[in-house]
Amino acid sequence: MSTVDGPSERIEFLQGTLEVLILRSLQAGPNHAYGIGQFLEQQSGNEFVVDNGSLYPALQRLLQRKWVVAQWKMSPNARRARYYRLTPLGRDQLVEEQSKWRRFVEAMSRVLTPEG
Amino acid sequence: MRRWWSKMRPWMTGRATIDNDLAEEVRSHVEMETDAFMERGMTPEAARAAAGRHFGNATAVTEHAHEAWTFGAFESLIKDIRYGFRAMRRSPAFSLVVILTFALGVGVNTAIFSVVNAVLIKPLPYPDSERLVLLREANAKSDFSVTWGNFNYWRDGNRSFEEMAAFQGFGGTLTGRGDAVTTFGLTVTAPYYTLYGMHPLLGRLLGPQDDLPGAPALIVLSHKFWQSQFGGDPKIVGATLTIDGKPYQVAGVAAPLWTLGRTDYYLSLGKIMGKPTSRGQHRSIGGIGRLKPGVTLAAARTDLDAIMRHLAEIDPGPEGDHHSHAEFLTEVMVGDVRGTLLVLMGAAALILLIACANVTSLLVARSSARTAELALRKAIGAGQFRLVRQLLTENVTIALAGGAAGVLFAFCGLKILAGMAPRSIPRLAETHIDPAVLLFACAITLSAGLLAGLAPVLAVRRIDLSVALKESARVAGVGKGRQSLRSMLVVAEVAITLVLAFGSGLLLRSLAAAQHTDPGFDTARLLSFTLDLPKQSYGSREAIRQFYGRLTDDLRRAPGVADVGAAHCPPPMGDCGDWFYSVPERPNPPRDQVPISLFNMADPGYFRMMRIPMRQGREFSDTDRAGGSKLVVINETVARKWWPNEPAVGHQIKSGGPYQEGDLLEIVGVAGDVRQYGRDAESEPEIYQPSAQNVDSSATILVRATGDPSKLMPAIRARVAALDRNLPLRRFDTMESALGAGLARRRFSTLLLTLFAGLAMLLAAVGVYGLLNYWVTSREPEIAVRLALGASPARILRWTSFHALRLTIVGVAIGAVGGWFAARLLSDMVFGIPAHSPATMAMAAVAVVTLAFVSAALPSWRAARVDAAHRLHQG
Repeated sequence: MSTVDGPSERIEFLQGTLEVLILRSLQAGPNHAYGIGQFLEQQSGNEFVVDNGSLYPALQRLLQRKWVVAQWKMSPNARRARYYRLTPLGRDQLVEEQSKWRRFVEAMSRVLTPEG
Repeated sequence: MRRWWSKMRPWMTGRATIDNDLAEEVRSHVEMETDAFMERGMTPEAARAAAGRHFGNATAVTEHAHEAWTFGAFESLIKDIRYGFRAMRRSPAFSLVVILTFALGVGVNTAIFSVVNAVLIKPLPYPDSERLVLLREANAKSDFSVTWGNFNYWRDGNRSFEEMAAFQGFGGTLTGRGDAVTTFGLTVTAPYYTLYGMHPLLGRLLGPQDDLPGAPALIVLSHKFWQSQFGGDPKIVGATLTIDGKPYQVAGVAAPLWTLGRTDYYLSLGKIMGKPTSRGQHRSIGGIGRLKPGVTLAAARTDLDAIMRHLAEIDPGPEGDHHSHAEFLTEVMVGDVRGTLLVLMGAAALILLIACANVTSLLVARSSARTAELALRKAIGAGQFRLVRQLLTENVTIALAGGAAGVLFAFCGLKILAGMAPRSIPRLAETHIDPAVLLFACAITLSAGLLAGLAPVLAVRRIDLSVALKESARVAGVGKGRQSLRSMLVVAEVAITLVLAFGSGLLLRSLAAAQHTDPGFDTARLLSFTLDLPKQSYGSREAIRQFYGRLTDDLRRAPGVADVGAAHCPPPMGDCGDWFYSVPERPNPPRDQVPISLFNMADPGYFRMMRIPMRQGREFSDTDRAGGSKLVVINETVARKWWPNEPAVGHQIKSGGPYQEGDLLEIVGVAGDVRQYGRDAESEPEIYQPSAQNVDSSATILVRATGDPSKLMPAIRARVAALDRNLPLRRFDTMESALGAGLARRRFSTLLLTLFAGLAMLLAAVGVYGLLNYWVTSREPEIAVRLALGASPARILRWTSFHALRLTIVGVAIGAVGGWFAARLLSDMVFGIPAHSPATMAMAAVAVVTLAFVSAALPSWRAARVDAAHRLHQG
């Protein structure tokens, strides 16, 4: 049930990565689900597929863990939208996850890059 | 805790808030996306459509998002179950049939399983009962009692047993406390009490010090005997009881203990036997031991056999070729009912299979009718997995309702079962529904529900939306695949039903054969009772002989008595003692191949009175006296073995065989075979000695009446009492009823298997009816066209009947093959006919085909009466 009929070579999300990416996208400021999706697709150079079937449950899980809070606000083009904002708890979590991901990426590239 | 609460909260505060938020959020998301598309120059309509497409399945998205907040799986399970109940209520007739079918299958299995559980599975109520082993001696041909000498060597020399005890039956007449009573006790060595986990209720049990020769004569009463004989007298300990004229002081009363046979009290065996002397004296002693943990039965046998081999070297003799014989106590107690119960369990399982087939068939038919509904739900966003799960839950829910009803059935069925069950099946009376049985019922219900529910669910996955949504429900359901699945189910039902019908046919014919066998004597108007003369009043052979002579004379003169005879062990009492024998004129058999025969005693009138024909020679007469030469009458089986082509009369046999002491006995007659063990048993070798030459204090008197034998009973009691007021009459019964009791277990298993076959037939009939009914319904348009084109209703009738017949024939063919194999399992229970009986198979097949025809009749008739004009207008 993919939302995008786009090229199939685009990257699927790894398990659990979407939640970090959402937290990262909210670092720039509160945003709504549509905006988060747009942000992630653009920032990844259209490499990521943001499936609403994954995005919405992930947002609900973040709400549950109190890493984000949601609030109904008016958008710049005068639409009522539900804005998600990072909580202090979510900010801590993001820092932690970022360092974890950096270590992971470094380790991966060390393994994958053939030694000179 | 917080996480848990955050999941619980929506349940408390209502999920409405979350759902509303989600729905609105999705709406605003799509609107924003629409704006974005319009900015790129699309028309509002195109933009809205593109945004909707791009967003994906909104229902699925909100559903998934919502699940993050709930015990997703759990909540939708509740929803599915609720939906299942709603579906049940919507079609109550359908649900009732399904529930009843499940209830029947589960009920039958639960009832039989609870019997299997009580009789075969549950350990015996003794400590570590799975390690209790019965010990005997054996040679190459058979097993027999262990001698006191050997037992003591085993007990002292073995390395395999924690404890070992010896026991011996003891019968005696209790006097001095009201009427004389025949009692049955056991003489045991002290470890017997610990092996059976016995505790004293009053006083004490006997210990090793009581097993020494010269110890005071003590007695331990069983709880039951203490209750029935002494009214639970709390001051019984210390009292003196007289048994066979000897005084015993009551040491204690044992707490209630479950035993297979009747045990009134326990005496000390060690005190009676004294120091072991000869290894060769067999006194009907048995051994019982508890294996050390981790020691196998085979290892224990090897251990004891090594002792026996060592003994054979240092103390050679008649025991030289004997080895040990060890069997688990459980096996000895229930070994012979295991076969019967497993056959019944298997039959019950077949019924469950038929029930499942029926329910599957019904569910497939219904899910065909529901294709449109399911297709619609799929179209509006229900995931494949969700639909499958929902259908499965529905099916399992209805199965559980059926299972609950089934347990109720089983509960009622068990009451009836326990009432009619023969007492020879140990522990059957203790059968009840316990947690293990409930667990079993749950397990089979769930598996049956899943099994029956799976096929229709798999069909859902193949629903083609574009086709299903366009066509009407009925047409959508008539897939070729489904029809053939249901046809296969009917074939399977017919096949299984034939197997059960064949099995029950075999047992019914065996029962009939057993009831009509010639027992070898005339059972008409015959009564029998057993007397045991106490030693203190009848000390000498002469006294015993005089008493029985007077009694038979008295009875013979009584009004209503045609004839009287006496024997030690008339049929159907079975084995009251067998012994080695040999034929001196033939070469001696090797030690381990000495023939064995039942030894019986008959008085001069016995064969005439029983109307057992004399094949050769004569029967005993009053002139065969104690001092004269020793005589025997042998039965035909013995005569045929040794003298098949010449008269046996005049030849000699030796009692005890070549290696044991015994008299030379001259054959004076050959009597016809009798079925010593009952109507459904074969004849065994049997040797009769005249009562005058082989006096026994115990004898069974047989009385043939001129009229109704039971009316003679009071007069007989009075005559015995007139001779000796202190003599209890045992086994006082008519011969017909004694022989009938011997068939109780056969009757029980036959009744149950026949009942099962009946249930199978009922279910198969419903199955055939259901299938054909549906087949006719789905072919109504075709039938209408055929009728309109000039086919006669008779022809339509033939056409539909042929369809049913074809399936039945295939089922019968498969069932016949299955039945042929199943007959092997039944061969132990079949009597008087071959287990592979083509006649029985033919009868069963005719019954099943007739049944299928009858159940097909109504739908076929309906097919022939289709209103062609009406149907064609409609279609």
